[in-house]
Amino acid sequence: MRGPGLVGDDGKIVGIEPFQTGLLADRLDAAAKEAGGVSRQLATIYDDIEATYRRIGIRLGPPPRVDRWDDTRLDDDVRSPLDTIASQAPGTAADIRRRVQMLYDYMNGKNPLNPGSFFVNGPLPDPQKVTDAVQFFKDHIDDSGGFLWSNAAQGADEVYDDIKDLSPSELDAFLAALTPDQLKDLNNQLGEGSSWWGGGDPDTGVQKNYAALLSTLPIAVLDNYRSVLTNLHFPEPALMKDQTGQWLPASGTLFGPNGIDIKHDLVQGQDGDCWFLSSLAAITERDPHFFENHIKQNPDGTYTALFYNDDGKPVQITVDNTLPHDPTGRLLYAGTPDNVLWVALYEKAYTVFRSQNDSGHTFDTYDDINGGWGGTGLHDLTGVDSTSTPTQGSSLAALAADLQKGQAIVTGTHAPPPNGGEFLDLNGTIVGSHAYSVESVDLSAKPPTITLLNPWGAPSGIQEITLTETQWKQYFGEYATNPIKRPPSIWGF
Amino acid sequence: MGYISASDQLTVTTATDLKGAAADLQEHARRLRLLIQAYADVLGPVDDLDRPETWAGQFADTFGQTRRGWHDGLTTGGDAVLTMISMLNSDAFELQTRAQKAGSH
Repeated sequence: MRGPGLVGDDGKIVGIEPFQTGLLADRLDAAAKEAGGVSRQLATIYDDIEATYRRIGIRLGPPPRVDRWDDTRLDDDVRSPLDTIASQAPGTAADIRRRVQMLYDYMNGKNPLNPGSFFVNGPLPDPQKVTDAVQFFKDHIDDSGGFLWSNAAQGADEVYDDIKDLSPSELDAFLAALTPDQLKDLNNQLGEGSSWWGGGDPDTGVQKNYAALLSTLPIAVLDNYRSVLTNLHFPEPALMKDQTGQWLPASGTLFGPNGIDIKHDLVQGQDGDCWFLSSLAAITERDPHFFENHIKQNPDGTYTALFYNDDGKPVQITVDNTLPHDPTGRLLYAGTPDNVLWVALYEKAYTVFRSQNDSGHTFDTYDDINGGWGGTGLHDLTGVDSTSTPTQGSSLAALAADLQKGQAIVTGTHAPPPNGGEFLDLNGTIVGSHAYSVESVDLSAKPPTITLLNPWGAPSGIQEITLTETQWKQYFGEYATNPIKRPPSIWGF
Repeated sequence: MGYISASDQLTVTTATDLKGAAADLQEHARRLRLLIQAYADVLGPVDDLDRPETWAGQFADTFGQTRRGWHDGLTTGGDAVLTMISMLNSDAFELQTRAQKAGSH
């Protein structure tokens, strides 16, 4: 069934079917109750199972591994999704019902808002306020400040003053009510720089106002406008394509109680930035205090990390303490083991740096660090050029000499064969198309060996691997060295 | 393969105790099997109980991709319960084998 108001002028569905959606909400509520009940029963059965094994003298060890992340107890793995459903589903069901009510109101002419709007959680938007704001936009977006102010983003500034007090749900509805052309007008204004005599929006104040205002919207809503409002610099990088999540504040300390401990601190997440994380590790292995001088917490609670552009000039990137989590509350990208934050914050700041300095994207996204080369990561972190060398023309003796000189080294594996899984070896320890940091080379071993650190970290169970030269050359295609040469700190540490 | 290896020394060694423990493990496996049905039923009727990925897929289809974290959790959790059922049954078999040997001496 397609209710009135659910199909747009172009024939595309712009809303959802209220009655069926209401049933879905009911089902979600029922699922939550069942999930809670099943979860409690599971706990009871596990206790009984453990009691039986204890009776026959067997202490249950770690549970069977069902995937590489699964180092926690079996019952936690099983119960957590059910508990999550039990706790989150009622809220989701309530939210669905609220939206369904809006749709019914729309269909009955009680609410003029576009049912295709995303509708953030929170109080219902006031339709009159939204309608007024849309009218104000139409009347004023093309306002000009006169000849001298012709490029002053004047109309956008006036509209900002009008909409800045809207609630998030009203702001969401307001944006949804704008046509593509109107959004384009707004974007054009936000892109206006200074006028010929220096007026306009040279300090991008209007842009910043809009970015701050729109950042009150959830990521899923904001993502709808990133590709349209390309002149806005949003304060948070976008998640990778096809990922949903929420930005939650990370609590903890920048470094652990004993400073940087790379084997503890580094855990790669769902972004393919092994090359960057291994660069962090490689530098730390040669200079343990390097990053203590390259990232700092600011008095306002934000963090500033230091990178270097192609010319070797320092670039400061400031980010807040929020990190992307999936809907169940797990971190999506680099981890924060024992609430040590520096790696995850560095990764977030690097996303912004890469997006702004290299990719040419007009918005920041974690996709911009998905895939890359260790040599690039080493350069961006140190400001010093890296040297890449094929493994075939080199030797462990050459690597040992580089390490002796204090060089940071990242080495990368060959791609796995098509449909051959992600590992290159039968034991499932060497990951294909993956970057490792070089921890050490032991020339006195017979035969000599190289020890590498996998940025997947300790939870992977394959954090550290030791190979002979033959094995290293078999699985690894190249390596990058970087002399680090710490530049003078611009913060005067 | 279960939790018990052939070399494990057990605190119970008589045929009766071993058979009793084997029966208990089988009962736990049966209860887990019933529960995994309930677990899957959280999502509604499922096509193939032994393939949690399919239930999780149904779940995602029903409730939307915004709940992908639940989808992943259900897959992992379902796999883990099924694996445990298999381990329990395997251990029950090991205990029954030992009970048979204990009885033959």
